[in-house]
Amino acid sequence: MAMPEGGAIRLSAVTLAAQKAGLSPGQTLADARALTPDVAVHDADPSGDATTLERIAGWCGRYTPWTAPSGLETGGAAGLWLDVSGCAHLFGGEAPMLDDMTTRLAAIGYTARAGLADTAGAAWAAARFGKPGRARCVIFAPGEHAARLAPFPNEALRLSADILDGLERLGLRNVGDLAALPRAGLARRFGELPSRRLDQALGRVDEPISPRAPAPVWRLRTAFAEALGREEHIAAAARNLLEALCNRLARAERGVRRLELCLYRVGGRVDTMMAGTSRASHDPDHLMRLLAEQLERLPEPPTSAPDPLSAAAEAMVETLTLAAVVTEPLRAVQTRLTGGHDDDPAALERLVDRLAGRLGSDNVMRFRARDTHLPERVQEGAPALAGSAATSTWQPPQPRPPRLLARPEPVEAIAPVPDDPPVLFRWRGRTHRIARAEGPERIEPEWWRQPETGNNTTALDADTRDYYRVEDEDGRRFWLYREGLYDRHSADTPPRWFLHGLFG
Amino acid sequence: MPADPQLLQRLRSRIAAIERGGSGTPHGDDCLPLGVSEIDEHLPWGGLAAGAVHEILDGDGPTSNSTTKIGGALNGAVTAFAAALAGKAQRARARPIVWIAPRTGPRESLYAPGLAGFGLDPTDLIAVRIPTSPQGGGDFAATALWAMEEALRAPTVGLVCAEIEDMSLTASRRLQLAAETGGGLGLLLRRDTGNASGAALPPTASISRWRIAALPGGPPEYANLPGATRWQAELLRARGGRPRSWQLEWSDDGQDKSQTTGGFALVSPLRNRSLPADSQGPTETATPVPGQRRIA
Repeated sequence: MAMPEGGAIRLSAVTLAAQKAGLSPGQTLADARALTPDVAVHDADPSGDATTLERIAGWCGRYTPWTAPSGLETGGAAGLWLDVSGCAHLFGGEAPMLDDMTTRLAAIGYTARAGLADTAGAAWAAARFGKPGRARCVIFAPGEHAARLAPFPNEALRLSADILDGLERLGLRNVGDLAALPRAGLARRFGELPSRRLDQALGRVDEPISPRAPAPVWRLRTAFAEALGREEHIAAAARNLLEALCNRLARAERGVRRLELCLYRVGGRVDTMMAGTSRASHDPDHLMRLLAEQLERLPEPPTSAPDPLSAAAEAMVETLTLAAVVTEPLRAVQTRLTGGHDDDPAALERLVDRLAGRLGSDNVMRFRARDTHLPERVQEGAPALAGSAATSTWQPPQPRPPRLLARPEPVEAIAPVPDDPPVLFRWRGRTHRIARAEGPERIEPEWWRQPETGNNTTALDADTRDYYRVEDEDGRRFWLYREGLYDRHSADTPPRWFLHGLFG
Repeated sequence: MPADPQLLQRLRSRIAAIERGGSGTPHGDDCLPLGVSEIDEHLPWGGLAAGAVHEILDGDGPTSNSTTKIGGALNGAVTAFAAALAGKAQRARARPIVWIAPRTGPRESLYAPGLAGFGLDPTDLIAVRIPTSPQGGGDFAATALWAMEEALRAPTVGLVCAEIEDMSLTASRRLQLAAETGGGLGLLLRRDTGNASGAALPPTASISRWRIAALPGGPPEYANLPGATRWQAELLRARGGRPRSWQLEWSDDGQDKSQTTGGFALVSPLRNRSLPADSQGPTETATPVPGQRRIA
């Protein structure tokens, strides 16, 4: 891998074989070519690397919900943080867990080194500078990180190149040397970074790292001895998890608002499904229906692949996790949508959840009235089950059309008399001769609101609208308006007419 | 011997139940009367049958709007008619309404204050918007049909209104079946595109098909003002019934704007404004007599 850096093309990462041939990151491409003329060079792709790392971080969700990619800016030193507190026993201990991790990563094509220690800094050093055993992983037992870190080189402290050079010149060869120095002198010479890194590695100060996604409180995981291929088996396993989750939630008197199901496939792919409910629920039947809809729509493994058998094998699911990402305390009283009916109130919720699950929650809504007289601002969308808005009143003093155009459409209108409705207008290729009309109803702009166009003065002048309710010869009814006051228009700028709504 | 209208009604609903596959459950009893006795008695179910899908065509002609296959560019007259029916269902069945429409833009083209004017309470209306691709492919139709089916199967929905242009016979059978199992009442709003080529719109499994067009409004209180909303309502097809046409108007007698008390009424030929205004006393010819109207 090579990329331009500081006016020269330098290697940004090398393979193991290239390392043995004497190449190293940071070398210029010209030097590398001189050393090994037959070296294969590819353009580095930092954003692709970031995506891959992110995906592996998602893959690691099978071990712990707390994962974070790290150190992308340092190129080849990039890695992943995993907080495995309380997770190791699920895999038979720390060593078997790391073993499992590196083996599985190797199976999907990534060579990984793992380090495990009490602190993030020590684990970082262990993964990169420890002497790995058979399983390519280094574990610092609790409490022994200070002793184990001492022989590590200064690089193990995540320091920048110029600081490392300086330490080298002073003859400080390893972490132990550095730790023995008085802090004040160190800080004077190199800033506070070396001592802070040292403290972080030794656990004297806390090192906060933001996880990729906040770890959910309610999360269940199941791994299968044999990977599952059939959809109904996956659904059944998800159902088992869901029932267990719902039991726990029921004991805590909480319900799910947002549910996340992750399928970890043999091939390394992770499919994540989200299901939202409009009201907190711990009913496994209802939640399962929402998930099942998503499971059904998962893409099939490609049958046209060169090797359909192995493609199918890679699509098998080996681990499932189910998390209640958002939970809420259950409300004992369900709000009734309409008074005096003995229907199951949850039936409507189930319908709304299913519709919203497929269409998106902003596409399943209810109207809410706003206190304004601008016609297009009067109604707004509200969540379909956000509770009753019975107080809002909809009956305006003047008739309103049942259909309002998304935005007013300009029409060609002939209005010979000022302040009178037009005698005919043309809209969408059809001429309408007006037989009867009512108006005007003058609607002034809301001057206290910033106009959307941004141009303050002209927008305010032009925005006064005179609305007319007109009926053409065939009985079709329209809601037209003239923009601006009539006397402001001169002969060369005739007033503009717009169609805003369709009456019944 | 004069036939007992109630007996006739029961017999009709039983026949309708048998026609629907003999499930034995007389859905015909559960119907939505329009509140106009001439129409309700003409319909075999005594109103719009529940557990069924009814089709309402926009009779405004094929050139009225853009030639999109998605629909949603419906005329105001049809929207108002459907809103009036939905409002009746909302009150009669005390359940919310689901209105499925294409998502044409960031703003909803249904306008709540206008719907309220036809007796539909917008606060108890769930608007479902189906995302559309710019090309308007078959994905929209499939999604919209799925949504309507779901809503028809749900027992807590008063009426499902859907603006779906593309409708095959199979798809409409599915909808009809969903309505029968769930007992829902569905309205399909479509444009009457059949007129363009001269051929009728291909048949569907809907239990009835209507064509609604705007009529010049009722007599105004003052000259040249638009009067009450009027429709030409053609019943083109009804299972077990005969086609017929009526002139309807929306009579909103409620001076109290806080609650809508409007309803359908037949347009009396005597109220036509072509007649001299002084030849008829307004009190004798006014069709909406409050006591006679059946407000659902």
